[in-house]
Amino acid sequence: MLFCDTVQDDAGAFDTLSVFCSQARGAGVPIAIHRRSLPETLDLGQRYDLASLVTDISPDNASGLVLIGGDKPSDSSLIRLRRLMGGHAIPTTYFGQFDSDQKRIAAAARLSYAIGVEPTLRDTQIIPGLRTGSIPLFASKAVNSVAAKPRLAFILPNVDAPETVSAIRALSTSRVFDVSVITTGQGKGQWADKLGAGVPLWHMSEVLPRSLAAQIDIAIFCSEPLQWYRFNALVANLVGNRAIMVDATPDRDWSALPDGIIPGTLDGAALLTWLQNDILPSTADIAAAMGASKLRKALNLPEDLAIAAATPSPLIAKSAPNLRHEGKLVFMPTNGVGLGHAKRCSLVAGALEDPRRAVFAAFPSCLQMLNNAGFDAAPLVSKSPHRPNHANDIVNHTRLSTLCEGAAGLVFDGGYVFESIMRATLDNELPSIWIRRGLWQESQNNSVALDRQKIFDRIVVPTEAFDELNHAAPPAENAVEVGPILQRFDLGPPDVSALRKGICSEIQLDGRQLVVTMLGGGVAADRRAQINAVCAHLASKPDVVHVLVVWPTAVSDPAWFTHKNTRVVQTYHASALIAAADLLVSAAGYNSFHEALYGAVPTIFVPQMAGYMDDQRARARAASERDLSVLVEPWEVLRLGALIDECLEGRAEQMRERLRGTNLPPLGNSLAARTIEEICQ
Amino acid sequence: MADSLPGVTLVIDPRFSGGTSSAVATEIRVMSSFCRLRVAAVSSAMFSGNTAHPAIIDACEATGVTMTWDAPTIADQIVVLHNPSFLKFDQHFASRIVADQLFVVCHENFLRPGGGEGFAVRHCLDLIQSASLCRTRSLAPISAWNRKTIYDWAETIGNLPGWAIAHEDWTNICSFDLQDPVVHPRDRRGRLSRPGFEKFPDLETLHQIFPDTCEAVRILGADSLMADDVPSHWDLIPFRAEPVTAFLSTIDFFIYYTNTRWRESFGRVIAEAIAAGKLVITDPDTAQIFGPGVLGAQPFEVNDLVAKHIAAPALYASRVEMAQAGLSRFSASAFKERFNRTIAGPPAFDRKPGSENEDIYALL
Repeated sequence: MLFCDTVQDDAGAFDTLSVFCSQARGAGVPIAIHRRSLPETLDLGQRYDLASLVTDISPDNASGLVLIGGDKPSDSSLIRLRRLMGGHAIPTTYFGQFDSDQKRIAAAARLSYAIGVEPTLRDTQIIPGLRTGSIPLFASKAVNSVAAKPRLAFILPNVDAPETVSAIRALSTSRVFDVSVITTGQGKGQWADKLGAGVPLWHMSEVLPRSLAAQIDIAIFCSEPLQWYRFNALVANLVGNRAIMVDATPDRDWSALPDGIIPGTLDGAALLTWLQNDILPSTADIAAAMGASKLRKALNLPEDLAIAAATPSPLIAKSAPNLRHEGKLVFMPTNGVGLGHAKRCSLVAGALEDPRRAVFAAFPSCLQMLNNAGFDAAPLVSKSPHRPNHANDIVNHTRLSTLCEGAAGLVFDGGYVFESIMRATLDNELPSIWIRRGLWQESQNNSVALDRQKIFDRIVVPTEAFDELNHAAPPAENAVEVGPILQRFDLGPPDVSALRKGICSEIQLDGRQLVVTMLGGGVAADRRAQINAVCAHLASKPDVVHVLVVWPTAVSDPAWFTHKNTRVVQTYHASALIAAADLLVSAAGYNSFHEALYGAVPTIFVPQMAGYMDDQRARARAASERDLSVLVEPWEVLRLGALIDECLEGRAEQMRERLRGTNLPPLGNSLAARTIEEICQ
Repeated sequence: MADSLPGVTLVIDPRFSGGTSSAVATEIRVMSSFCRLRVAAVSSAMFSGNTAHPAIIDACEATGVTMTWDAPTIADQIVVLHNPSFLKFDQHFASRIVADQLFVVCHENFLRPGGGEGFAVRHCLDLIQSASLCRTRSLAPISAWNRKTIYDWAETIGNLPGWAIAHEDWTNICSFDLQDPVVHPRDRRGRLSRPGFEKFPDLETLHQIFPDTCEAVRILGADSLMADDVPSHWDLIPFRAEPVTAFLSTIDFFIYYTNTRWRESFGRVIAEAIAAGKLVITDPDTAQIFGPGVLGAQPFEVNDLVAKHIAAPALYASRVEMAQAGLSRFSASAFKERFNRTIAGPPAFDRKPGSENEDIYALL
């Protein structure tokens, strides 16, 4: 294995190191960065960049070392390298611009004193027109575009130039291109203010250059070439991908490139016409010319790295057992308040033509349920109060990326698109689908969700049963609405009777009526008061059997076990209990709400609300306004007893009858699965 | 009287931080007594932004020797350019040298152990050659080891017209006060140097020569070790954090090994340790410069040697005294004698001892 390191210590050096290493890894070089080489001061983006490039394996005599960072190694980098090499004489290749004998001698000597090996010095090739510095620049693995429309990116446009803003607006509304803007971290916010959510915005460090380049078919360069390795790597990958590159700078700042760049304009109307009339018809010719260009040749992998890439290595070789197979689809549900996302994913996966294609990456609380449903699942790491906020997601990024290698697509179900998902999708160039809730709270801040929907090829929106609930989702051109996704039990009276008998036998209680309480995981809000109220009230009714469902991973209150006719049940099979209930007291999460509705189960809904959740109150209100259920606000604890009595004394059966007579939309399980299969062929 | 003294100009970038400046400062003090001495200071790119070494300033002031910066022409009967490596980052040498005899004193080895060049030798010598008009132009090694690297380097070049190699070594002048060795030596070991990586052996060797069985281990100039995982019994002191005399007074054995890929051309710190009454153990090649009073040994032999001399204080004392006696070869008077022989001798080339290929050296 090759280790990669830098002979400098500033933050920029490690940014360059991560990009260089990712470029090489993408080109098939078995290269990694040792964890001990990295400082504690890395920013979050750099940590994500580096996560899948870092190794804990210590160098040995079979290792190699690749160094970058200029011709003057810093003292502290030499100390770091000496410690890392651990006395092993590891063959070392050192890339730089050693333009004098003295520079060569000094660089080789200083390194050899520190690491005990005389390095092989390699002069970095200078590429005319690009300000590459001393770091070798080369194209990573080429990506072939499969986009339906040409994807056009304005690269580093000036937000203060009205002509540029107009051009971007004009092209983004033309429907000829999928337009995006590549800008700086600071510029992204400014562009969001100018363009709104309609144009995908990327900042240069949001993902690695090879992932970014894979999003672009036509690059409109709006600024001069920069001396920034990350930027130059993006250019190199565009060249490698045979993208069309347009110099739209007024002073033709890219004209010093040997070839490969086409002079263009930032006049919106002229640009659109020119692209449509002159460029698009010649796309194949331009790509061929780029492939044969001097620029492309100058961006070949350096010989030393090419030799390493041709050598088999476990770091690059595909490995791992049953979670890798042809055409696999990686499903990643978040664990929200409950297990709803995972449950919904399992239903969609189960509706695939070949459910064996589905593998899951899921949080620990969901694993058992997914395994019970017959799916393999790789565990993700939950957030820990003892670690920095994003630490678990960085680990998940590496796990998810590994799982995604060779996959046919990734399906995400959740409200917040974690950075791990974005990067795993883009790093592996996967078709991706987001199963996104339709019901958003009006006051929610959805900026991250809106920003990151750009990575998904399709957004599948499972609709709500009632029309008025299907309007609040953010707009997306590539969204597909499907009917409610749920597990449906069509049980006749004999089935219900048998099911209830089995339940009563299992919990060693018998009674005339079965009440099931399922008020949520207690993550979003403390529900103990409501649960205690239900338990205490039903304790006075000896003919009622009360099943209190709690999530297997949730904490139970000891008081719940003191009521004679209440049984606390930890189960992944709540759907079956719902189907057997005479009355359900439930939160109004998507799954339980629709299971109650479609199963015609009379329900008192006590919505669980938090800023990051869907709008459970609106859902419960929609049903109660149709007299299909009862809505009790969480703070109306004292009303619960009277309403339970009212329901058990006849209102529940009336609701059941009305539910049975209600025309509900067809389920969306199959359509969601077909949509996924279409995208991830 | 003064007119009969040889006119000598020392050419130096006086901003060298270590041994070169110390050696030149001593030379100014000594040579001013038997030469009409001047100093031509050159501001090379190597030390851009630095100031002149105080020892050189002090020596000039003490002796009344004039120091002129960046003179367009340096003309004298004899010009002595110290340490040509200061030109390694320059593209040209701005001053012109006009002299009867030009000596270039080679403070740095031309080659490193293993054969790599110590610095861009050819580049520096070419700059000097093209800037100088003189009857003889000689490279002056500062030690036997330094001389060997010049020969070996010349062999790799094959031909270097216009240069000779002086017969006599242009050694450092070591005029230190001699102190008696301790009567009962203890296992108190140490070393001092600049903190550069070339000055230190690898960690394995350091562990070998400074084991945890030592009563004390003190390392002055240990900046690069302080950030590393090293044994807690090593007392690591940053460069210049403690006066050399005070530091040497806390140890009895001066154990000095450098990186195996680098070697001292002279080893002024060893001379200082000898003068301070310490028993010096170092690698055999470096030990050879200072004669039999300095013990040349492999690192794995160090512990036995230390134990042997602790057990035999008389042997310890006699060894130190032998080394101190050897320092007389580097005295001011010895230097003056060698200087006189050097300038009086024929404009010489030399032959590498034992070399079969005399032709190469005939060209030098």
